[in-house]
Amino acid sequence: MEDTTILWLFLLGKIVLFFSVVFGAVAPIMIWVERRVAGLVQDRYGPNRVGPFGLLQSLADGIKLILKEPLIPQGVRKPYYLLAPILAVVPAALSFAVIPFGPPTTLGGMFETPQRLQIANLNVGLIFVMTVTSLSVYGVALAGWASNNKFSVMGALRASAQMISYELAAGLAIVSIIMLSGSVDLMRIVESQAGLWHIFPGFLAFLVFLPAIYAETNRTPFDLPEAEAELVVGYHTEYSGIKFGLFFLSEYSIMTTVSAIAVLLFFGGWNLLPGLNWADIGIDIQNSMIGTLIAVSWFAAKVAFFLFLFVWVRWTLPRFRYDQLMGLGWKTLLPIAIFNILIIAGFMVFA
Amino acid sequence: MMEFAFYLVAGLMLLSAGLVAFRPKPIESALWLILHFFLTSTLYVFIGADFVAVVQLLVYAGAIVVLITFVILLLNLNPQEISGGESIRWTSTVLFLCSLGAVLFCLHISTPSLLEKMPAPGSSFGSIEAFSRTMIQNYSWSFEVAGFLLLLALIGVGLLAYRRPSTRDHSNIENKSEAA
Amino acid sequence: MQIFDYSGVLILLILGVLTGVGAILASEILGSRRYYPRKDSPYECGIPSEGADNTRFSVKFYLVAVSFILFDIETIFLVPWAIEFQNYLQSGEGIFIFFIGGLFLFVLTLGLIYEWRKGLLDWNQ
Repeated sequence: MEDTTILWLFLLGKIVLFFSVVFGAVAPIMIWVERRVAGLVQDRYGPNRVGPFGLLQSLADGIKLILKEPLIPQGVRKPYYLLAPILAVVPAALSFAVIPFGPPTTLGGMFETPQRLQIANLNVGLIFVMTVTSLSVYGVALAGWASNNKFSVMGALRASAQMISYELAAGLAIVSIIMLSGSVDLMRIVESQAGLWHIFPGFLAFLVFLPAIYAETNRTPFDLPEAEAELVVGYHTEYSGIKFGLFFLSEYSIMTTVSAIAVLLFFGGWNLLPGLNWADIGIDIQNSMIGTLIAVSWFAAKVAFFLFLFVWVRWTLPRFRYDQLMGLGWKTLLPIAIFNILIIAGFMVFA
Repeated sequence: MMEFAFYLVAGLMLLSAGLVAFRPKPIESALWLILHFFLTSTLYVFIGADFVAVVQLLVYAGAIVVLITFVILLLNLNPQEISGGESIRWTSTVLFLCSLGAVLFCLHISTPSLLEKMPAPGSSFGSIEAFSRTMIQNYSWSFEVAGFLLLLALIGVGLLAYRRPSTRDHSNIENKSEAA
Repeated sequence: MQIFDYSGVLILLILGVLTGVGAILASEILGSRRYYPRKDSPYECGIPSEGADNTRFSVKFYLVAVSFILFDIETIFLVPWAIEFQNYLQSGEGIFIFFIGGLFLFVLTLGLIYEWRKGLLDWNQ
């Protein structure tokens, strides 16, 4: 067993790494990707002046947002106005606690026993992620309420109702994956995909899960609560400067989290290919540093693909009307998710 | 060290519960309630009941307080609309403190037996696997009855909400934005 | 090991709060200040605010929230069932686990159908 101080240092290292990578690198890069892809889709250039290929644009924007006047409009309910962005960022940060970034590893011999690349190995793993995404409703609701602007309240109510409706479908899709893996521990879910990825038996579940996560993060085609034509910007109309930036940051963080969950649950996490493992081609992902890095990069590449998919879908599809959106959540995705559980149960028992 | 943590969390829980009850603004009460549920979760973690802790957070803090928040947003409640009189405040404070005292006293008397029944640290007492095994093995009928209760609740929602499709429920804002 | 893991969660929570608070404080310290009264009014596409301030909203949001609670609890009940599913399969009692889950889901689907037929899932939902 390891020395406890080394374990604590490793824990702090993981936290700092995750925090800085996701908040500090993924979110800014995502914003850049968003704007460049938007440009490509709309047959124009995206930001390309600030830094090579416009890569420093997000950094410039971040600095700009901090330097903006911290305006608090008159008539807002001030304590809640200030609390809402924090209530948005906290679940976004917390959701990373159980996401494993790679295989259990000895980091090339630094540890005696393989250590997990997870901040917290809670035995309720996946349920923790569900819980934290449930809590992200409050940032939205409080922001709308605090703004003292009837359009903001309207946007907040709609966004919250949308988020909770799609959480149900996502939860039931997750239940069917739990059935296929036999555990809620994310590490074991990935390990159970060493042969066949869950996307194959759980195809319906994925079909339910993907729209559900788009709706949860309020991304097009489900971003009516932010639609400019109807509600100005919805629940964060009255926010400017870095408070607005915090909402953006939390949105991209949650996108990263759910993309990672999609990869872990359906696409084998860091496994090489369905049926072909790293060990089969001679790469030791557990004991060698290079092997671990390869597995982590492969996982990161898959997550990056899903993040790109978020952006691609956003700039391609038109948005749903609100009643269509809610109808889809309750009358289509929820019944399919329930039906999917029965189908998978049936297959597992009778075939 | 654990005892200190316990007393700290328990004290904060009592404080936040009191704040929920005695603050005039409903949205503030809702926020203190979220904190309270979060602290309850922490206590569950202390005794090793992991699954109950997350379920507490998921259902109470993540669903029920969301409902309460929706109600507050929908009704646009102002503090004046829901305050009672001064005498109600004082009576309820005294009653609350008395009942709290009684509960704490009973706990104090029975404390030795409580401590003996606590699970050993490191056992799989409250883990989700242990919970699932026990639930399906020993309580499968209760599981079905729970499902039936949820059905009854859904029927209750239907009965609560049933209105003949009339003009009175549609608000101005909804119609304006649908027509836009 | 459990407390070790949960302290990781706690640290992450504290870091999240610090990020939010820190960003807002940074903006307060570093932000420019050029104030004029028009900046204060709520934004409504540039025209002055009109319409009563206490408009009522549709009750359907409330119904969505209540239905959400009930189906969320259903999902919570299904999670232990799903975890035990493979264990029962392997010990030969697959039919048992299938039927108790199937019965539970059937009862809840009845509830969903009831809500659907009553029209509670329409319009806003």
